[in-house]
Amino acid sequence: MAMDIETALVRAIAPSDLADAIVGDLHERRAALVQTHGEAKAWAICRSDILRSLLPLLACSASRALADNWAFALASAAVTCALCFATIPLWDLLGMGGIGYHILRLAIIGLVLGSIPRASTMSCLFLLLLIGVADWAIGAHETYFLLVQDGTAMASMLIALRLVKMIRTLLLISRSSW
Amino acid sequence: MSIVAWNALAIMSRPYLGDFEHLVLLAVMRLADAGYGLAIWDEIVQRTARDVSTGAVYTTLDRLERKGFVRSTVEQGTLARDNRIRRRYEITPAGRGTVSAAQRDIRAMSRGLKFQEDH
Repeated sequence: MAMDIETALVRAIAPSDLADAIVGDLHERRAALVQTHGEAKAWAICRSDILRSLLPLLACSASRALADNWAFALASAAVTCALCFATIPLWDLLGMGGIGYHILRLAIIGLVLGSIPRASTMSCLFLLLLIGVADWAIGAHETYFLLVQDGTAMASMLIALRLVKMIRTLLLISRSSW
Repeated sequence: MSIVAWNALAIMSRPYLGDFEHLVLLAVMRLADAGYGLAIWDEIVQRTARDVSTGAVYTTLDRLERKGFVRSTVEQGTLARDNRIRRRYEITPAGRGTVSAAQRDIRAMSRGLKFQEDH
């Protein structure tokens, strides 16, 4: 079961094309270590290796998320930004122009953009940049405060999505091992 | 354009190879046809006694592949690997050229210096 948790962590954090090879190595190495060090020691060695691997794997995933599909991410962010500014009068008309509704809208946008495979982080960053430029162009007050507020709303959704993915993977693997 | 600007351009256009990337490329070269992730990790640990994680090796290999210094092929897993795939890495001509240039630089900078020998 302990090994399954390590497998789940690798699967949740590492890029999918590397995760399978790393998990395979984990099995192979553990099988070899059991012969020389015994079951408990073999598991402890592998667990320590995987825990130390998580940070570089996380960095690898993050750099890929930023590097991949930047053109698609920019297009998604531009369309979203245009929709955001075009619908401002509509929200005011519906009585939903308040700050609470604004944060809710940004959180929903974060949820939608966050679901774009391999372009989620980049889309949100581009969107923040475009909102900043648009705010500056229309001469909005407290631009920095607005950007921090919008960025926080979207980032919290991205983190929530990542956590849900991790929990789902853990549940799937724990179910399959029973 | 002045000679200083040309030199600066030449330095900037040369691919950068980090210390650990250098070690990983040398391990891939040493292993030739057996450059599997776990074997590369083992080669580095055995030869340098560095305490590195397998994740660090894989992420470095991934970076080197993006730079075009190595290429990987996927092979079918065995029972010992719980039928999970294995990745075999091999060095590309660009990678070989970069390692050669880095080795040349190290030799040039080391010439005439005295080092502590291992006993």
